[in-house]
Amino acid sequence: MAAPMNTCKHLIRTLTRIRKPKPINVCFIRKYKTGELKKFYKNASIVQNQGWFEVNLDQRKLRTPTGNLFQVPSEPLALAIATEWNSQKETIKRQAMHLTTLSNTVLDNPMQRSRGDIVRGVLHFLETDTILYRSTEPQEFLELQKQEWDPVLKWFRSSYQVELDSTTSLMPPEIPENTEEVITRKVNSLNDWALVGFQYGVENLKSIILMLAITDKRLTVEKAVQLARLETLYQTKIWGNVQWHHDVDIYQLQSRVAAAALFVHWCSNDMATTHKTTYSNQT
Amino acid sequence: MANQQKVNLGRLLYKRLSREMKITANPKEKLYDTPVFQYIANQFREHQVTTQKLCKGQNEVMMVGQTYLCMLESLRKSEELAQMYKTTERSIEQSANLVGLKLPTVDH
Repeated sequence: MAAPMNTCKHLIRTLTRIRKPKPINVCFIRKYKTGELKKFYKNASIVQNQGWFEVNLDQRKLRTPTGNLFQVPSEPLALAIATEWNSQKETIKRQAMHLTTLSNTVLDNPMQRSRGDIVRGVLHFLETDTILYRSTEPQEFLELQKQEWDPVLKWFRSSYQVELDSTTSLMPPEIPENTEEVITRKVNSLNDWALVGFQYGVENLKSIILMLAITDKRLTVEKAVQLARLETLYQTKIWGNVQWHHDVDIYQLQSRVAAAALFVHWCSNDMATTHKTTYSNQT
Repeated sequence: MANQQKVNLGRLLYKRLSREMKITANPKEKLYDTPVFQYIANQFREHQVTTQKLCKGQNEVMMVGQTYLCMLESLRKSEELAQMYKTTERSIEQSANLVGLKLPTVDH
């Protein structure tokens, strides 16, 4: 009579030992089906873990598409990503979640790119930079280009101490070696995270100079997107604006470039700011 | 004078950010309780501009705020436009009917 009781107790004890409370790290394969995914959580929040910030959807940890743990190095970035997840209504629209996508790219590195690859990709845009290519006709457009693009070019030249000229031909302009070196150094100075964001911004704007102006806080995102689309802007002023094409293009570009700029800013190491106190009667 | 303008810009940014957050965030809880809003409010509090000196730091934080606002607004507007101009793809029969044609029938 006693023996079965003992084995029973033993069994129960081993079972309870197995089911120890663990943090639930379930890998969501179903998240990445091609069909529409319903919003399966109520609230997204952030937690800090050994200097990294993670995002929790309800109680479950967010993961990247390949199953890695989702971690970001900065708190405002994590908060913004949690907001992205929170702002989803009934279905998950991944195409609207730029910050999440950028973070996933850094964490997974799906195309196995090294730092050198990314930097080379960015530098590629230097000789085909948008604001260097001037169209000679119509005259009005040439004036507009001079008016809008030249100040940015001037700032770029003076602030980085480089020479770079615009061109009116189809051939790419001659890039002096010094310029290339300076820009390579500048781009290389970004850490891995900021580099991916920077490259995304350059890709969308098709211009390094405009992206540098954004990251150096010289231009707002709206203005930079306007400058990148100057020709389209000129044409729509003459021929009219098509809302479902041009406006959609503007807003999509703005959201992508803004996400890239925020990514670069929040992931850069110079986040330490000294707080200025408020003076009341200082002269 | 320039400082007053800056303060006004700051107030405007704060108002617009709050509005965007209200639209996108969870309607169940109060905006004030969310950690995101607390972070934004803290940033505004910490980086209050001095009345006399021109702070480069202040500009920088404002630009970040403006960039975030730009992202939220652009996402919302592009979504609105997508909804506004959304159409379902027509079936072949409907497309044919547009020009007054009918699909050929197959006799078995």
